[in-house]
Amino acid sequence: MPIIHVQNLTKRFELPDRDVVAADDVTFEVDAGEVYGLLGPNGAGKTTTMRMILGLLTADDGWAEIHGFRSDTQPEEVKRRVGFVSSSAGVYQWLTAREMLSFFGDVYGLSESDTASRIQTMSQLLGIEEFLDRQCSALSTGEKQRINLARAMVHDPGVMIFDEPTLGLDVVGSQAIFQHIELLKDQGKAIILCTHRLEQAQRVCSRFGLLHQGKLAFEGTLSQLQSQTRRNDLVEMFVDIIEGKLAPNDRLSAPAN
Amino acid sequence: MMPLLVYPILSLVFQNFLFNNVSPVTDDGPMKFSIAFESNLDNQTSKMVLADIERRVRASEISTAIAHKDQTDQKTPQENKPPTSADATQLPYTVIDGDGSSIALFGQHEWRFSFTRSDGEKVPLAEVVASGETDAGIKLKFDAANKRPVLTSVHIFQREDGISRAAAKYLVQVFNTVNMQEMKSVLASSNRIHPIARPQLKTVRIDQQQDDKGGIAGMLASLIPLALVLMTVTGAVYPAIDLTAGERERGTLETLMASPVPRMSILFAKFIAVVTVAVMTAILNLAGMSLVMWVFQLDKMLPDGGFSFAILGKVFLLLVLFAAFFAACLLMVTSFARSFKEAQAYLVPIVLFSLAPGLLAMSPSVQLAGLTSVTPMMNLLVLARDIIQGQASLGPAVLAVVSTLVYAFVAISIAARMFGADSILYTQQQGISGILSRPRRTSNLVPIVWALLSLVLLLPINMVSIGVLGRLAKSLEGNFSMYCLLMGSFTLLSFFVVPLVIAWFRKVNISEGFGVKSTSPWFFVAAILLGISLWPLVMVAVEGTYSLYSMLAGETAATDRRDVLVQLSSQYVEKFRQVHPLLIALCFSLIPAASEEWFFRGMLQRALLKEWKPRTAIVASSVLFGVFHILSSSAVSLDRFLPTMLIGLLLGYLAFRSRSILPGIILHATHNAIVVFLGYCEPALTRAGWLGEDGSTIRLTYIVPISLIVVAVAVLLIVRAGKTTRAATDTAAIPSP
Repeated sequence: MPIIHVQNLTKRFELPDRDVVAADDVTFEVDAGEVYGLLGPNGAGKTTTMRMILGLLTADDGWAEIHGFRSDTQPEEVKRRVGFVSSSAGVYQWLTAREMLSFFGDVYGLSESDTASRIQTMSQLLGIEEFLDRQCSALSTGEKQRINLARAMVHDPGVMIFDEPTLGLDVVGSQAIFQHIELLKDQGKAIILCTHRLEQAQRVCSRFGLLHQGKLAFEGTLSQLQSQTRRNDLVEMFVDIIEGKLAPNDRLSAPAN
Repeated sequence: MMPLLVYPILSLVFQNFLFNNVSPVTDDGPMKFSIAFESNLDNQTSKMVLADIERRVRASEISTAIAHKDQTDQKTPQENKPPTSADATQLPYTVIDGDGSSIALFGQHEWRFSFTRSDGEKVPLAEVVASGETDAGIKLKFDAANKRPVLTSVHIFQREDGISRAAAKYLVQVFNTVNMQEMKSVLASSNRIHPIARPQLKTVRIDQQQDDKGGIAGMLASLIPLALVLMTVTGAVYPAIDLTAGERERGTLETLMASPVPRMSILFAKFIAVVTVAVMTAILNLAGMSLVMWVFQLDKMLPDGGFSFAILGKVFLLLVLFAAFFAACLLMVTSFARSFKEAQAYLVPIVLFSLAPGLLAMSPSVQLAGLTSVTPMMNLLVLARDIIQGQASLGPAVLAVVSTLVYAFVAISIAARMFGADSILYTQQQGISGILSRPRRTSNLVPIVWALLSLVLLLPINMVSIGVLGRLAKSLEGNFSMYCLLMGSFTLLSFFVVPLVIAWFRKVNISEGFGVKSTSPWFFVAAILLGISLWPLVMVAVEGTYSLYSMLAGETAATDRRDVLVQLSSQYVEKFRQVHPLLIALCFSLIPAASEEWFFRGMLQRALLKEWKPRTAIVASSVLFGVFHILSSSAVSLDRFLPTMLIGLLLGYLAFRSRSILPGIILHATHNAIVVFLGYCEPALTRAGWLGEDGSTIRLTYIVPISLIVVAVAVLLIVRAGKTTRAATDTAAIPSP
């Protein structure tokens, strides 16, 4: 029984001049201890797909399930079990990092003492003790992102969803994030990772889904992708998909297994 | 008369417009004045003098009447019989001596003597007239030295209004007539001279009018609420922007939305926060203002000699209501915005726009009635002014509060819809324009935002219709059929045409969007059963309202209230009977049933059902249905809320189960028709012995249990029929409970 189950997820946006299919019949599964790399160029529909999985967007068709809870009918149950880190996530400028984490502990329904001990554990893990009592407005981008990571894990969820978590971070900053993702994977969490740092993704992810124009063009482990596309690495596959040299594999439009 | 039957009939079926235009029975006879009387003699002697004057005037009237009849006839007054003792005993007025204030009828008019305050002090005549206690006042001064008192001066007091002037004019005429008589009799017999002084007119002013017509106190009373409201607005704007657009701009909104808290709860928490800040601002301002007024003794200028705690409390409650209303509006607007700057740009026109009614409310001539009482912001401002001046009346006040609550509810619902909505959160191209523009694709349901917008639109449209009908009522005096037709068209225009236009604009499928669809025949059977059996229960509900009212306001108040209603109702039933029954059926049964079902159960309830739990949607739409039926500026229509809402619940449930408004239209039309024609055919029914022998009550004891059973059977039918329909068409858009 996979922890994350995405079935035929479809989302259309109606723009004033045209209709856009942001996600088109996307189907995949993620197991515990697995990092699923949802990769694709800008505008491929990665963010839309993740928002639908989380229940932030309503799907036009299909559904997503986490721990057996559908995100369209029981969004609160889904959200309770997911940690969500996105590049656009902000911090409360006038709160200290600790205050902000406590606030979210409260939002997720944790008791005060549980929140405090969670903050203690995470701050050691993420190395955020030194600026835990600084105002968020005084933090650097890398520090803010680490606080955000802590915020997403304050309720110790079994599922993590990362939407370009390293955007705008320097090498050291993104290194820290990826190390942490690997740690979470080892802890047995089910993870969806969406990133443009393909080399790191290639190292961290167990399986991949290559999105192009809303469709899941190729899916599988790195070796499966290599045999399907006859390309060596993700960068090559990417460039060729965008340039139209690599046609989507028709066999994959049906569920892989 | 059957008070029990007639009132509910009217209260239920008549469009709000009616009660509004009812004026107390107008007497076509000569004007009747109430005149205060004061003299330096005791009341009994004064009355004797009045009697004497009256006699002479009557004599003169007779002579002028004769003179008019035959102009060549030159009879002089002295040819009339001199007054005899018999005349004096047969006074043409009655004298009722009470505790100091006696009432006498002089001609058609009411004469009142010696006004005293509760502390026994005599009230000056000018004050009696100025307060509007009587139409005019007359002060006589006698030289009491003579055996027969000689009148030396007459002062007549009038106000600057029509009726008072007319009363004064009448008095002047009376004394002029008497003077003429006297002159003539002097000329006739020059050895007896009783000079009567020429009346001197004096004009006094009404105290209240002084306030109304731009006095400092009036200005102060209007300025206080405006200042308080503006300060409250200032307090609410910043948190409202920051908690919506600000969160979005910082990127914390998505984080919040990703947490396991329902969107509505997040919005509600924000609403509470904004209201709290606004109320705190209001408290500080109210305290500051009271302090300043007390220090500078400005409060002494107010009518009741200042702010009492009761007034302060009421004004504070109004401020809380206003804060809730404004916070909801702010959140609605700022929920559309993606950034702080965008929100500010949206708010500038809103604040300017809300200043206009605020400034209008400053005008002393603006009264809380009609359109004013449902104009957002303005209604609360005028109400606050009236409260400070101690002049607020219940009906319009309730209307102002209720309509504000409706606006706040609509605003917060729209905000909930917008807040964190896909298009606002994520799409860059779409903003407010995307939501308000015409879609390219057709859809099955009216979007909830649009259903609520048409609700808000219908409120003022209704009030304008009521106003227009009120104006036209006078010119249509003799043509009640025309009046009925006009009323029907207004109902059609507001509840049918307006939703239709909105549905057209949003490219909504009419059959789906309004539920104009075929459904199981069992629903129609149930609808007819309910249509014919509900009226006795409605009467019980009306009775219940009265019991409630008598518990709250006392038995006599409730009885008085019902008497007024019964009187108004019977007047209308009279007019009713001049109209062709088919027209009655059209304007009171068919049109209201179809139009109201079209909007309330069709557009509104179906839109709400898409987003909300069925129970919430049905209750909300029937409460709004009830609210629309109390819309009118008279407190009278308040009694209609309970029965209307209960029927609304049944209609809502029927529409929900059958997924169609057609059975509801049948129910609504049947019910209205029965209730109207019970009133219409009341005399015939009484003659036929259908109604209680004295005609005062219909035999509720038998009818209520029977109709209860029929209603129960019908409801059961709806429940059963609903199950089979659901099984057959489970793919329909409306979620099951």
